[in-house]
Amino acid sequence: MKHDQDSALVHDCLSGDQKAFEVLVERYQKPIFNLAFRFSADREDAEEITQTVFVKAYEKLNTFNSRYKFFSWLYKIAVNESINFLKQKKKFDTFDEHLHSRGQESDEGYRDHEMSAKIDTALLELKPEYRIVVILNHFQDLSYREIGYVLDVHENTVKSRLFSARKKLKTLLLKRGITHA
Amino acid sequence: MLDQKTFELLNKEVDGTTSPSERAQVRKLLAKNAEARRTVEELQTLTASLKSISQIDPPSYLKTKIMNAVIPSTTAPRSIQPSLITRIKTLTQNTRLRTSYAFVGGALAGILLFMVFMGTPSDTSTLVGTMGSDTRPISSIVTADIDLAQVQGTVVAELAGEFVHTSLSLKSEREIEVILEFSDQQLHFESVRAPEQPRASFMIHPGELRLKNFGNNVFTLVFKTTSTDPVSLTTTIMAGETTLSRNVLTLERKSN
Repeated sequence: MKHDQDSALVHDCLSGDQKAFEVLVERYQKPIFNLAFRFSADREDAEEITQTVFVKAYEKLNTFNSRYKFFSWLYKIAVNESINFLKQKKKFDTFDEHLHSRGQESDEGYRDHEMSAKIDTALLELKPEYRIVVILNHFQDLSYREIGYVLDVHENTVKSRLFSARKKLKTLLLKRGITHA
Repeated sequence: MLDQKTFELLNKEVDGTTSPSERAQVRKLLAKNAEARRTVEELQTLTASLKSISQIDPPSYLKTKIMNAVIPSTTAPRSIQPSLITRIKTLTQNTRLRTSYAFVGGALAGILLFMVFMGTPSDTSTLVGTMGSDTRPISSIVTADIDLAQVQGTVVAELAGEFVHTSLSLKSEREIEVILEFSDQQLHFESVRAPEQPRASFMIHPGELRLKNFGNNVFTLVFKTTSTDPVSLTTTIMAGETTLSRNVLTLERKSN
């Protein structure tokens, strides 16, 4: 249903209705922002990546194939932009300082924040190709097949990367004292 | 130690993607293998830990920022835009517009004949009200040169008719922020054209525009104004928390 609505909005947008694109931005800015944030662990970077993703999507809208889901196509752009952005910033090897600059949290939110920060830090220690499958599967709820489409890899490669990433992540979280949810 | 195939099977079980025969295999395995049971438990814990992280909200201004970046860059996505020939064909097929075409064509032919026989007028200001008039005369241009150790460039503000066009050419070897302050009673922000690269961005607030620059970039801003009073744009350049420079550009309509 949502897939049909998205395709209709894309069609309207291609016919010159900019409001239709605004609806798509409204609908998908949060998941894209979250994907970029989980990948970069930096709010400002996530903001810039999100903006670039939508600008690129708008410019390439004519290449969207309505056989696929719009959000999968958008994630494809988001993944490429996140990787390109971080390559430019050469941030693959630095992972800790951003996690301390997220502003003040309330007392009750502190534990969640602390755990979230530990998980984010552990995620950043994963290789980018492992990190992205975890983000897409666990935070964006994409199936193996959808992840395969987004990353341009076979479903079996997705499974292999995801399961290896979990093994590594489990070790990293144990090292940080996270043994239960 | 579990082999890779078994580990993958248990992962699929945790994800709920096993087939009925695989599920039966997992049940048998869990019944007799303590390590398999522990692995499933650990995977479930990991999945739960990841699920427990809540999604964060993007900043409230992000949608506006995106739409402002999208709209000035292209008027519409390129695909369904018809070619120039198709557009001309469509226009010429519109019977309602044929009279207008005839009128405009006639007027252009008349002007050409006038120019051929009478020569081009040297002073176009005498042609007020005709096609030769300047409908958006430039009333005022002010410039400010930036020549600092960390940033160089020029800011040009131009008042033309109802519009104020501001162009910022900036070159900086680190990230700087330019804050443009203006009276939102006098100036209504219309659009911004920013370079399409991650290290150049902008944010819009009431009465204030913030641009971030790194490298060599040109930003173009358009405001609308109907004010007859002088209008001012204050440009502040910041590097982190440090103010590097502050300029006030005042534009005033010249009376004829």
